[in-house]
Amino acid sequence: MNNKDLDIYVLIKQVPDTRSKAGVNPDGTIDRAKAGKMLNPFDAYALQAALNAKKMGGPNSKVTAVTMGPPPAIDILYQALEHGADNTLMLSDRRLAASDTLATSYALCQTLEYAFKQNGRPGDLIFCGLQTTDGDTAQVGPEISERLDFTQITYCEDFSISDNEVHAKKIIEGGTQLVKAQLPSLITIANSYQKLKFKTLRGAQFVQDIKRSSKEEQAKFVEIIDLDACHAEELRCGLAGSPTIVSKTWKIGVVGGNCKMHQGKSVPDLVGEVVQGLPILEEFVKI
Amino acid sequence: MHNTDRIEYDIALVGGSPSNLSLAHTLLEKAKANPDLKFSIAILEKAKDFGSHIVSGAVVNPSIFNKVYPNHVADNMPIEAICNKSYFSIMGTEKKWDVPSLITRAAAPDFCKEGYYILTLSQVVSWMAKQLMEKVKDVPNVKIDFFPGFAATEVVYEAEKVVGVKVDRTGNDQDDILYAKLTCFGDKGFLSKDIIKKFNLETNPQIWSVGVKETWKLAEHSEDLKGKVWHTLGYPTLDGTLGGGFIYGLQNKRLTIGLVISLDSENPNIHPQKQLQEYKKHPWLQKVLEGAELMHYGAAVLPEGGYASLPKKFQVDGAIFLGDALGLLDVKSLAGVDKAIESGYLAAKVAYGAVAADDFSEARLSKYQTKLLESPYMDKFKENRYFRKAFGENPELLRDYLPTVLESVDKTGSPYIGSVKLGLENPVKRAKAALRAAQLLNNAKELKEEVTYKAGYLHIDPDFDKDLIARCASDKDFAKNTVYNREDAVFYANTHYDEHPDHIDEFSAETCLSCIQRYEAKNLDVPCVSDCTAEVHRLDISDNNVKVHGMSLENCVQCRTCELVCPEQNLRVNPSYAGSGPDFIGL
Amino acid sequence: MAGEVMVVAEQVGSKVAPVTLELLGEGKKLALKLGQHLTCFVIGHNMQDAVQEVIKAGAQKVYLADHQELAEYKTLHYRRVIVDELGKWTTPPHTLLMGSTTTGRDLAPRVAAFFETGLTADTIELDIGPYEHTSGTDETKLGYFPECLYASRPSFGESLKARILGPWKDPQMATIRPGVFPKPEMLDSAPEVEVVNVACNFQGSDYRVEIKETIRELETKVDITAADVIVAGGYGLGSGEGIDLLKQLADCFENSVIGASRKIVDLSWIDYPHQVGQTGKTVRPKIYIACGISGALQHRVGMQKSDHIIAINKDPDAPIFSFADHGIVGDLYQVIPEMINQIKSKRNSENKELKNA
Ligand SMILES: Cc1cc2nc3c(=O)[nH]c(=O)nc-3n(C[C@H](O)[C@H](O)[C@H](O)COP(=O)(O)OP(=O)(O)OC[C@H]3O[C@@H](n4cnc5c(N)ncnc54)[C@H](O)[C@@H]3O)c2cc1C
Ligand SMILES: Nc1ncnc2c1ncn2[C@@H]1O[C@H](COP(=O)(O)O)[C@@H](O)[C@H]1O
Repeated sequence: MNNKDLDIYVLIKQVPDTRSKAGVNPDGTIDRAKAGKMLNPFDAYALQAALNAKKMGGPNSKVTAVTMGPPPAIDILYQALEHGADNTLMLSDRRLAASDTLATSYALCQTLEYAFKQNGRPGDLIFCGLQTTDGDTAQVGPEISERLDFTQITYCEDFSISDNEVHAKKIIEGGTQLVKAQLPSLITIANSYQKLKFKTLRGAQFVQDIKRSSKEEQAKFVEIIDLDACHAEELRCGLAGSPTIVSKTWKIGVVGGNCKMHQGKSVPDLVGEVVQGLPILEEFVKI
Repeated sequence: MHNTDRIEYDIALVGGSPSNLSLAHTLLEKAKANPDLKFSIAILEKAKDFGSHIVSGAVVNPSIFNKVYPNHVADNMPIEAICNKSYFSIMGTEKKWDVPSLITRAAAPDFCKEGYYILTLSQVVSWMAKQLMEKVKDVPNVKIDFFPGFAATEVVYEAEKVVGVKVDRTGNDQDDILYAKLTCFGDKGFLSKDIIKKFNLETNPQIWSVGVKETWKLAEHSEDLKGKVWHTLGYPTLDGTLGGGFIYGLQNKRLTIGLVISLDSENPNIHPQKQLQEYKKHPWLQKVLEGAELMHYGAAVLPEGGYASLPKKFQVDGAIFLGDALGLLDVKSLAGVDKAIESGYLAAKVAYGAVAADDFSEARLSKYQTKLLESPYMDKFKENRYFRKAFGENPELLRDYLPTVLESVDKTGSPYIGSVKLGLENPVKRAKAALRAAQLLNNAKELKEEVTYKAGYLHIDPDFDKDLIARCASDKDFAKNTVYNREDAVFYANTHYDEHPDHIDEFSAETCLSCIQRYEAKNLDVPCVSDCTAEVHRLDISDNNVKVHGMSLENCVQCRTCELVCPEQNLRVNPSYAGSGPDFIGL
Repeated sequence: MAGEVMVVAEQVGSKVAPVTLELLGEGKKLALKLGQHLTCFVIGHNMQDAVQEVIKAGAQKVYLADHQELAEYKTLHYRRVIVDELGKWTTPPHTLLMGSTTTGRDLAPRVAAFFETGLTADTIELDIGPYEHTSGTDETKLGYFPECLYASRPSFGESLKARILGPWKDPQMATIRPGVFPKPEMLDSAPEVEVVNVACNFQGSDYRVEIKETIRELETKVDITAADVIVAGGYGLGSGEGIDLLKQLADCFENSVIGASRKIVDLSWIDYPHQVGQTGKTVRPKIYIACGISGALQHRVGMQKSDHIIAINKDPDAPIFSFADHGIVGDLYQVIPEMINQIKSKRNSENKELKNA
């Protein structure tokens, strides 16, 4: 394989850690302030895809992990470096608060354009997770690909790269499809793709080295920019730039504690109580 | 970008253990004094976070912390409680007899723990690691890299010298091996046992026991047991196996309950987790646990051979052994943490000298052994060296005497009648036996006897007395929420494996087959299945209707019991990859 | 004056996908509230029958892009016809709906980004209603909006429901979870409605992606996460033969499968794809019938979010009863046959009623 060098980007997001008990209210809702933070689990697959893609490109291929989020989100960039990403870039700005998907995709797009410019050429591949566990829309990826006019492969389960093209296997309704797409391409990775491998010894060593180094040295690997640096229009970002808002929320599906017990009667009576008491059963009874 | 040279440090610490973390801490202290001496340390810990693979009691002599961490109180080391009352108790099946403290002080002084710290060691280890991360920032001449989630999986030698360990498995040695001039093993034997074997350092085979432990949240209205310590003998370990229970009152109405059972039992089916459940069925504990809630469960093995099992050398060219890896646990007083920390403290001094002289030869490092053997923390350890021998020589102590005493406790609330009865049966023999045991246990200073243990696995008796096994089972009443079967208990060990775990080697399937057939024929469980603390080993029915050995490795808490009880020595538990395994933080 | 309510139809092999009909049914209600037409954008090749179908389902006007390039769904080609057509309009649709399928989730965000408009994902409830925007830095957004699209969706792991709206810009877009809205009553024959032929002006760049092969899975794999009804068994079955009984019960229901606790998978009574719980799958069916399952934590974490949990167990203290909705204390070998019995006789009497009616 003598492919050209590939400039690969992977979009990752820090989300509340739903596995840890911290910050999860008794009713299952999440207290964002208290919750632990983690790399969006779907993005872990995207990161692995980006690292695999790097091996398919020329020797100077590189992977840049990109995120938009508050300053603590820098943790997931370090995580990406531990796994073998070459560079990272973060857009962090108070004015981004309350962005919906459209505003997020705009801001991320500006960030990517910024990186393309710094790099002297547009990227070849952008990998995204299928969706986030907090936003949970699966929209940010395709919206970015529309803005950048990249080809798009969603729900990608496997891929290879040759001659400026991606050959991919993707999930479609009721089946799978093999497609061929020209670069540059944006690919969202399904969670049936390979799991993210554990960080490498070298990666873990490298990150500790840069954390100890000077600010300038750190900035070589973890660059943090704001809206002005990437020429994003303030009114297209954050709350102002979001065409949607959440106007109301309700709790649903509180679990447990109200079991209606049926016991101490004849079996037909016991069963009868349940079958009568649960009209929803009927909905699914085969006719 | 990333370097492509070999990954190299001056010192590698295998295991984020109390011993190794104390070693690093002490090294930092020393390095402050000499800013010109630059060196680097790598700390490898197989758990995802420091402390999350640590299970201990733990009641510890505070003097060791005063010595090695003089500021530990100001620095907020997590201490559950200071022991305000300790009991040594005989557990009958129905009653419990607290040995009057006068007698305990005279006959079992090792169990007087007043003034000792009660610790949740996993949290202390986590604290030690965090301290280190902070402290190193003020010592620019020392670089420490922390590698939680990275297990050392193989010792790397050059000529007859340890030069590092294999850590990653990318397949490229350059990326996978961590080289060090000095590698310190505080790994509870996971890898260090290979070095001891290779260099033929074994004196007596190590004897291991398994500790199973739970922490409970007691009911709001219950009595506050903070600071109380019980060590118990008797129920539920009634099959002649050496074992005992411990119950420690923690802060915030939490309670530790555990059992330590020797794996050199002749009984092939020890069922440690099940015995712990039996323990809780004791009426006294049933009362204590009324309305309580289980928080954590875990298991670990302890080296019990003691002084007699210490290797010939505590170091080889390029490596030293610390803590449990060396076998520095005194089972008589159930104390290992103090000596583990002391070993790290002394090793640091020797390692510092070695770095300064750039000499890591066995000759130079042997100072470690000398200093450690001279340490005051080793006095008791040496004194108690006949503890195992006392029981080994006279199995009747546990098989016959103890049950008679327990019967008396149950009937009369005290052991005296039982003891008298025993004495009357065969006065001469009994008196002799008692004297001999007392001498081994308490007056070892005067003795100069050899101690020899049987090789690790030879003790298991496939024809073990069924009546003895029957003694361990009970048909007691108990509150449902106090007892967990093994399958459910595992949930409280919070095991998590990222990839398909493959960390236990089964060397030969044939061997397993014949072992299964042998034990099945005698109507006994296969030891790995019965003694597993975590629902890993099981028997499957193969396609041609034969029972075969199967494993659910995703449940494994990495205690290594199966490796130690396998009658065929056909299993090896390797440290697992990628930080997977249990999460014992809080246990 | 608000624009229309438009549904973008989804097709496979020129056949309209079920979700499209569901959307037309629900879209009709929205259109009525707005006093507007319900329209449908049909894209594909040889779509005459499909057009009839969407009209029968309630579409009052159809935009038809029929071209051989459109026979199979392709992001760039489909996107092209939609943005070209709607881009010409002076009054865009008020509401634009697509299914939250792999296709809809691929296409809708591209359209939304093109028009710079809002898009709510995976909606489970739709309505039209008022909204007043009273605060915010952007003053141009303030005001009272009498007719907003209310799109509600689960959030935070399905424990919350959030209403999302965006009245500032039309079309107000949403993708809708398949299966949540009922299929509308279909008219017997399609009335005459206007069918607008949409121009297909593909550009070179639209051909950058090529489909090499499409594989439709005919036989369905066991996917316990997609079932509406799960009949699950545990160690209480006593032996592998119990699985047959579970199958008989499951057979009484549509879209049902057998679930299992880990213990019986380990015992090889049933295969791994059926395992529910910590080391198996996490499921959320409408009905979960747990037979002889103690409710150990590892199992519980995999199924506790089921809508309705019925537990059958001999032991009245079994943990499963602490979080089931209905608990039957009894021997499952008596309870299940009786259940099958009652369900069947109920069904028969209903069938009779149907016939008599
Ligand atoms: C149930 C129980 C109760 C006890 N009660 C007491 C008590 O009350 N008082 C007392 O003083 N002592 C007690 N002990 C003994 C005491 O816990 C040990 O002696 C002590 O913890 C030993 O410390 P160590 O430094 O040898 O390391 P360990 O505690 O053995 O820790 C070893 C560490 O190394 C890591 N590791 C192992 N292999 C590798 C590898 N290959 N790569 C990377 N990392 C690795 C492990 O994950 C672990 O974190 C008890 C032990 C048990 C099991
Ligand atoms: N703030 C963000 N920073 C970086 N990437 C993001 C961000 N939000 C979303 N993404 C990417 O877009 C994907 C889909 O996200 P969502 O639309 O929120 O479900 C994620 O898996 C990420 O790859």
